[in-house]
Amino acid sequence: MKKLSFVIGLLICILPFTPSYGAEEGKVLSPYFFVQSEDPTVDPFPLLETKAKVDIAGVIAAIELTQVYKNEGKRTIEAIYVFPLGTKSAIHAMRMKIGNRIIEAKIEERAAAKRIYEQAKQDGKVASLLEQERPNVFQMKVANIMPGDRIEVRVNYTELLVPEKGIYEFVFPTVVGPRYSNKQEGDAKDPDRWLKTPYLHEGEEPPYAFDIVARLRTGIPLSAVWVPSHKVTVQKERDRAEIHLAPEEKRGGNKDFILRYTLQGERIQSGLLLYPGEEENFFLLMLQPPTRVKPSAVPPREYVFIVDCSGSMHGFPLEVSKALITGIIQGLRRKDYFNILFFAGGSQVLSPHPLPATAKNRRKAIVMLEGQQGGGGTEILPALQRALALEKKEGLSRIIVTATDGYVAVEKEAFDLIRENLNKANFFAFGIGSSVNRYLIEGMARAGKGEPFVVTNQGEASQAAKQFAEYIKSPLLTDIEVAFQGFDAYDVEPPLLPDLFAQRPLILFGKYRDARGKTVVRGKTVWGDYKKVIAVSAQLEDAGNAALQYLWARERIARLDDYGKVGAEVKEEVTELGLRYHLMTQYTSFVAVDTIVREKPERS
Amino acid sequence: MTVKQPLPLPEGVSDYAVGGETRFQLAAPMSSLVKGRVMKEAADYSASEEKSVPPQIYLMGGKLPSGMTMGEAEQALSPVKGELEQLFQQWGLTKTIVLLTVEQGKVRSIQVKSYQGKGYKKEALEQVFRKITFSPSVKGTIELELVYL
Repeated sequence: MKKLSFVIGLLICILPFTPSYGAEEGKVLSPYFFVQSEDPTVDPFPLLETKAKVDIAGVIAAIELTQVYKNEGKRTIEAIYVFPLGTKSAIHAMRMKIGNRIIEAKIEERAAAKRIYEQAKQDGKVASLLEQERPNVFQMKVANIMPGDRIEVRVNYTELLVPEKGIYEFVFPTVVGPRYSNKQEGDAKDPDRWLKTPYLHEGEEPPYAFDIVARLRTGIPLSAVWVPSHKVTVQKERDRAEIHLAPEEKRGGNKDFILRYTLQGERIQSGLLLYPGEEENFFLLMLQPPTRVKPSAVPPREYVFIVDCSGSMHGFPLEVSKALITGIIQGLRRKDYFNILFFAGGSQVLSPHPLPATAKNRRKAIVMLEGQQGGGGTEILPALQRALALEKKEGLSRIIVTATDGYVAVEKEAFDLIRENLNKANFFAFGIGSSVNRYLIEGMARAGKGEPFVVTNQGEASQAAKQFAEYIKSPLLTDIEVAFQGFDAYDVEPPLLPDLFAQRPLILFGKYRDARGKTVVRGKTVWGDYKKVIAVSAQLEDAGNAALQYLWARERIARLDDYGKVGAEVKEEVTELGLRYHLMTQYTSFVAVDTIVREKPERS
Repeated sequence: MTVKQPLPLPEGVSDYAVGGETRFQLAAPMSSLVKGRVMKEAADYSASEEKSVPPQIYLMGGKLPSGMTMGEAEQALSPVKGELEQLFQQWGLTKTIVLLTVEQGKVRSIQVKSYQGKGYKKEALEQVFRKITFSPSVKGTIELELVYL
């Protein structure tokens, strides 16, 4: 009876504290549901199919993405399509195919590309324009698609694959989740206008066909190959594999395609790759991390969990989030302290003070967590600010853990806030859901010197909670320094290596003059100093490593652009890098224009 | 005519994400399944689970000679942890920062830089810290921040 009254008391205490999420008034820059046009002469779904061909050789993935547009209406249209790519994608080529003619796109300064496109549109020429809206969100425009026309746009990009715990993962994102923004429509600037892209209703399948084929050539024998996100067929030989999407997944373009594989003996491909270019030479250093050693005693810590309970988390994502946070809370030790902040349009905390992780407090937290349903806006910045202002347990280092799908449009502002408060806490970000905004999750972790984690289903949640606890207990390598001895390296990215928590290799890009000398990496592990020497020789130079130039430039742009301060003047430098290395950036776009006039311009 | 290709909602994301419900609903009553689980968990609660874990000494930080790690310091401390815990409990100490002067890996003298608690006896502390041995190459001053939680 006593136990029962405790439970009832707990429920009564918790339920009235449900956050007072503010209802959004006025018309804000938010997406809307798609309502099919009444005009039967217009094709509302011009994207016929999207398909990808992925070639993975060693640690580098080369992806060819093809979008096919077809106008099945009776009027000439301009099609606009918003789509995602990986956060580390270096997009270096685009071409357009009309009938048998192929037009190579040019990289231009963003404003110039837009002018060229608009002029072609006015002139009645078929044209396509690819613009970056976010480092992982792009917009394709195709003008003057005449009734019956079929136009193919092909985009080439490359990515580096970095294994974690010996598992390689390639992610092909398929759809952009709806982003919450509280900005008024009239105040919106160009980079945010895509947020208004309409969405189909829940349960409606993607109206276009989706297909993907991946080919693996690893050099080292493969151990396992699997795709947790979609049904596929896998043909595996010694160090090669070919993966095809199952026919029933042709409408599977509403969740990230995730391909994972391991090499025999859980090996990872590490070492030095060199590319001798015509004007510049590039290198990539991948260094296997030291083995994890658990310290005998870990000091107590204070955890603050920030849990996204907004509308987009309603249902499955919030259930995954609850399972994850519950797992972490259950693993806390009595000497640890913790608190939880729930947010949507407003926010609410579990306690005004950090609570010791007693069984009673953990239970109270879990009951409160279970009561969350999801609804309202995603005001992540005030939530982060409030979390940072919460009373702190003196003497304990603070760890802030955010769990969200990341469907917000204030990524850079969040990075800034975290960077400015680094002395107050370490930040770890969990991305939850089938198509997480990885730009936000990875950026938050990088700005907060923590690690990014993505959990796509409830089954992974308990494993992720365990892994997280392990990372926090014992960082693998800290105070990392790299020295080049006799190896004339320059323009090294990143200039400072962050502490390494997860079991993933150290990655360093750069340019070099002569392929000789050595690279020395030093750091500290829990039990002692760490030192690794990597010899450099001309024998390692390989013209097949041409992708290194794009990856280096993408890395530098990422640092300047993605993680640069809001309002910082990096435009000139990023533009120069984009034009020089033929790369898509925030300030450079690909534009392709047909030379033939096929359509009389519409006059209003 | 411009057509914005509508996007499907990512799998698992509900209409609430794009204004399917314009006003936030207060956390609805828990589903019977969740409620049942919570009730069971809470029913499992008993005072016995709250039995206290005895306080321990933790090495929270400090300043070490070049080349030495916190892991090594922690390892060196571990043989005397029990004795230190007894002393901290006896004196009501919750935190202290000590400076150890070390030569050839052996503690020659100690100094208490600061402490939180009722007080301490330097001789007793010195007796315990002198039992610590570091690697023979360690020399100089080691600052250790210890908490008793």
